[in-house]
Amino acid sequence: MFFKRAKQDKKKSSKTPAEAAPPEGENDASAPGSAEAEPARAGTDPKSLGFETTAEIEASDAPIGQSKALEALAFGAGIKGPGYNILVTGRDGAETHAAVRAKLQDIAGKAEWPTDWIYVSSFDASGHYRAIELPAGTAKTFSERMAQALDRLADALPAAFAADDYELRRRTIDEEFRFSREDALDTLRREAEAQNIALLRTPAGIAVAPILDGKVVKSDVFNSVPESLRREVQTKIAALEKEIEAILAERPDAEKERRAQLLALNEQVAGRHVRAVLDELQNEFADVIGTKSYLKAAARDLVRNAGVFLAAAGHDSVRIPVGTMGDARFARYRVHVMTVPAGGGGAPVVEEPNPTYTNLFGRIELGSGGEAQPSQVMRIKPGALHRANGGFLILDARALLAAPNVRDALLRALEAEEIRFDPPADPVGLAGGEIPDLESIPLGLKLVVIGDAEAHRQLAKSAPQLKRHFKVEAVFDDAVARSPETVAAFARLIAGIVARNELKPVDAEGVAMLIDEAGRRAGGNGELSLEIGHIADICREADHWAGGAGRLITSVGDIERALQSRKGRPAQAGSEGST
Amino acid sequence: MIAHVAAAGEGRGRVVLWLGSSAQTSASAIEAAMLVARAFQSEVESLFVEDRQFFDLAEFPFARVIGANGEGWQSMPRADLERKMRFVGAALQRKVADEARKAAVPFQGRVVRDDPLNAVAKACAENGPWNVITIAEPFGAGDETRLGQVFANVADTTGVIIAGPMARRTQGPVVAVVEQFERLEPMMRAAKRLAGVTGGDVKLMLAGDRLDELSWMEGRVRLLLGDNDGPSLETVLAARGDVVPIVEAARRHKGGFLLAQYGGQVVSQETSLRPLASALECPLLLVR
Repeated sequence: MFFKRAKQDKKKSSKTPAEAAPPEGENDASAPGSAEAEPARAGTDPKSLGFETTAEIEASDAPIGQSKALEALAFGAGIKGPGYNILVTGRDGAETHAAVRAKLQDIAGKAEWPTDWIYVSSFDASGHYRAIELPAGTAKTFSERMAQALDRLADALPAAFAADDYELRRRTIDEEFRFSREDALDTLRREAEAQNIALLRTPAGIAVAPILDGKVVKSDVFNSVPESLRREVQTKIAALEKEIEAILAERPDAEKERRAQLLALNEQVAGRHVRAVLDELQNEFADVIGTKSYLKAAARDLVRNAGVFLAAAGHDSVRIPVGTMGDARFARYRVHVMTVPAGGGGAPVVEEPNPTYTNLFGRIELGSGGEAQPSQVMRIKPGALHRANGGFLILDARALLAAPNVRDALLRALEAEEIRFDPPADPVGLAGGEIPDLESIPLGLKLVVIGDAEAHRQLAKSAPQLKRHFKVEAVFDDAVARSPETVAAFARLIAGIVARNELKPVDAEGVAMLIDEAGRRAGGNGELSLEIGHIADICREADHWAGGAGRLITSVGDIERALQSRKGRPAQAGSEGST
Repeated sequence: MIAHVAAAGEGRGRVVLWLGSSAQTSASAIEAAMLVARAFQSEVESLFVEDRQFFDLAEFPFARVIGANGEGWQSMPRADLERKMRFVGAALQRKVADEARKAAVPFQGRVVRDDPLNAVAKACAENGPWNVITIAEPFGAGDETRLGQVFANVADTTGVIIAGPMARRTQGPVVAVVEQFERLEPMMRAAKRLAGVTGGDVKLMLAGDRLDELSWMEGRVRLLLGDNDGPSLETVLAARGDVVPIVEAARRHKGGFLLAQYGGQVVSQETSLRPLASALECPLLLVR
């Protein structure tokens, strides 16, 4: 289709009126008033238009003609199956984009609102993020409920851990652990004292000393006793030192036990609150596959890391309300919404004029997780593919041509039918921060690429595989045959430009001159050029002149002046301005 | 006697805060020392005792020391010991000075190298007519011996404050345990003075191991206290040395201080103080 249409377009381009008509400022031969040009006023009789000014007629944005293109667009938009993406061929210009957008929005408005997607932490060692599909329009609610749950925990957990009961139980565990060691040392102390040896607690730790009558023996006294006795004492001391070491060496096991008990206590205290808060959320989303396992994993992680809430609340559990949203310590509990709810329902229509990788596939923003902590995912920003998923994504062919890496990534996404985050560069955030893996999200959108014939040709050449993903082509004509109907439609279109740009109404003579300008742009062969941007520019400039003269209506004189003044300016790339 | 402590206008007494050279201190014990000093308008003398025996030990070539975390034995040269003692002493004194400043209590710090009991006895002998010794180290295993030695050897002490490892509260009611009717009045006066700084009221607890004696004492106490707003009163029938009812009552009242007699039914010299010290959440002032 790519190549076939390109041929057609080439054929068509040989008689393209716009190409036949010289750009303004280059050749005045066809300008209004010149002998060779179609007489500006000869084509359209202002009286035949049936109004005095555009204020009297209905404004319209609907494209004139283009029924075949719009039909193809509707077909492509409606048909199911892989590869039915749409290639729109038309002159570069805002009017093509506007016409496509308007048509797609019309179709999308009647379509079903697609399901939502979110990214959530897997809470496992891999650090990857799971994608969960939620019913349409509920992702934001789920995200907000989770944030509220965290805020509630930020309030409840410090209070629970500051409670008398918890503190006492915690200290009891600590003391049990300490006492077990103290008891062992005390027993040893008593045994040692029976052998005239003391265990002393010095600032540096425990020391063992020979004693007599409860006092440490002076070294000169000790040295005066027989060597055999001294050796015996030293042997006893050495043996005691080993026992002390053994008691202290048992600590790792005891410490392990203490930690286990503390963990169990913390889980008991925190678990009650965490379950209460997350159960509400679970009940609300009970029918959604994936949320149960996610909330279960989140609850487990929250309980295990309840200390984060205590640290955030401040020392001694001072009751300061904690905002968890901006805090990197709570980042892993954040729910990242990957869809943007459509304002009035229906499928989304997204236009991405700058299709960089980030703009299409999204990005991950990392933040510092605190001292000695790994960086945290602060935000997963959806790309245009996420936002348009289930609907339509409009891209510009030339913009895609300028970004071959993105084009290839897009091709991979179309072939795999999934949005896979695999950025060519580092995400926004800390240098050295590890990018977590994001589970792929199924891709189910219609890609609509707009470009002129040459752009499509180049695109096809640069990525031949693309052609099988564009089974529908909609060709927008550059001109329409002049008829009473198309002339009337053109007048309504001018009224639309006036209304949209809040310009002064144009009188009938002015409208007739604009219609004739369109005829001149079409080559004077009985057609009207559909370069609406060009007409819109003239309207705006004429409005400027009318305003300067203090008129409330833009007259034919202002239109003429605008046309004349454009002739004096060099041709501009943007001559086909926005409508 | 506690009557001295309780006497209004007595300004010559002192709280001797005994800082042992193990470098461990109980924050509750230090707070308790400050509270008693405030209650009786006295000063705190912070006494850091460098145990002379440590230096005797350091003279031995085989003297070694092992850290509490069991990092292995290390030699114990005298120079190292001197330096460590100096640093620990300075750090502890600074800590106590900060607490005294916060509590607006007159403070003086002293470092001595001596036998610990001697040092404390000397400090108490220098002043009078009353001294309350506060043992700053958390009360642990085997400390009954030390406590007994203090009461036995430091004649000039009126009472001893100890704080167990669970001590965490110094504000709230003062729970006074009375075992003999004749001790009621001085105990009450001391408790009231203390309650003035702990921000609570007095909870009077009559303790005994015989119901008839306890009933008799309760009747007399009620008669004495009358119907006016006096302290709340309860009786505890407990076997000698059984501290559980006392601990539970103190916990129930969320006591900021427990006042009891050393060598009586509850805190007897024969039984271990460990169950009481290890469970109490407030400091314990033991009086003769």
